Amino acid sequence: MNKKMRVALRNAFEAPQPERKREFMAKMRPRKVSTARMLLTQASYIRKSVWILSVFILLIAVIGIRRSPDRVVQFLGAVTPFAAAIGVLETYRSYNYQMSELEQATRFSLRSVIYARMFMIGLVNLAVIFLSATVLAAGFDTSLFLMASKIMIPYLITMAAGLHFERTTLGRNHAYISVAVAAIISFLVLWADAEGLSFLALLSGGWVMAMAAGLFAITIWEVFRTIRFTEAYA
Amino acid sequence: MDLEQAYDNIYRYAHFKLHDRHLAEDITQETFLRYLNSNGNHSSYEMRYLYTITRNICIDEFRKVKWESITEEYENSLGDDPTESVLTSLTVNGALAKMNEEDRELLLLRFVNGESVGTISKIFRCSRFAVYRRIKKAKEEFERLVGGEDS
Repeated sequence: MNKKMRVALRNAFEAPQPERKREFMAKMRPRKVSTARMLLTQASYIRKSVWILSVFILLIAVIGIRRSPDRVVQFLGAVTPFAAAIGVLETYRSYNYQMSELEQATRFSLRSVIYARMFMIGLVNLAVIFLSATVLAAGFDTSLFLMASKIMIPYLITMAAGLHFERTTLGRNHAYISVAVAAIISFLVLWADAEGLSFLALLSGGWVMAMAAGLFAITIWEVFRTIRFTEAYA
Repeated sequence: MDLEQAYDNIYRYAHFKLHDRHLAEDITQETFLRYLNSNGNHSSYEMRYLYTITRNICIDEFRKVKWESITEEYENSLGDDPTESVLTSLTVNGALAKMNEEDRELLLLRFVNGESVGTISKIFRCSRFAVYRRIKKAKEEFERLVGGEDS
């Protein structure tokens, strides 16, 4: 059917303008959005670099266990801080693009948006760390939680420190301060490894896990404080 | 398909069936409410279910109102639209008036609302091949009538 005929057919079937469409549509739009849907929506706004880095970490674990099994934990310890830094940058994004004030008046509040994004990034990073730890724990024949704790400690230190610095004047003026923190932590991990000063090797398994749990609690506390701060200064 | 587009398509379909603006709008809204009450999804509307619900509600309406009067009113309405100024449109309306209800419905669904053959086959509860053949036949009939009136 040619275009002219199609248009004529459309005109022939055209109905008069509906009178109550707008009111009905306003009523029909879902007012409540489920938490899962909200999280998925926010996940789609997370930068690709976060996902790419997560896959990169997993690849290091898989390749490292085959190529360089004695240094793979240190390599992971040097890379995970950058995953944490990118996560911290997500909390800064609205402020960076000067959208934080506007986002406070949107359907999802700034607070819930940042909570959702941090939750998704944290979840993905933890999943990758645990997957990597599973590969390594099987390779080294050691406890999964101990291995996960060893990988997580540099990550959690970076996350907590990055969030803390972000609330300072220096952090507000320099968006990439968390990346600098990540670089320092990463350098320290590699330097300690090169010098044979890895203090984690000196601690017992229980202490390493207790340290990871403590850092986890501090990080959660820092997340809450940063979100409150971001909203207050929007 | 988003809500607005789905609403327009269903409203056009209901109007085609009943030729009454207010009734068509009532039926459109009733369709969406029934669809959502039966666990329909808010984010994407499955057109085949919406058309089926509309069709069923229209059948109920036909039972209430005299069918003959509606058909007569429709066939009178075709071609005497005061806003219609293009000769082609008059030819099209004339051709449509000569076609049977089902062929008109197929043309509306396929070429105006842009529904897929698969969706239409589910609305009509017959095979895709059968629907494809019926659409082809309706299209040929329509083109023949338009061509015949043109010449």
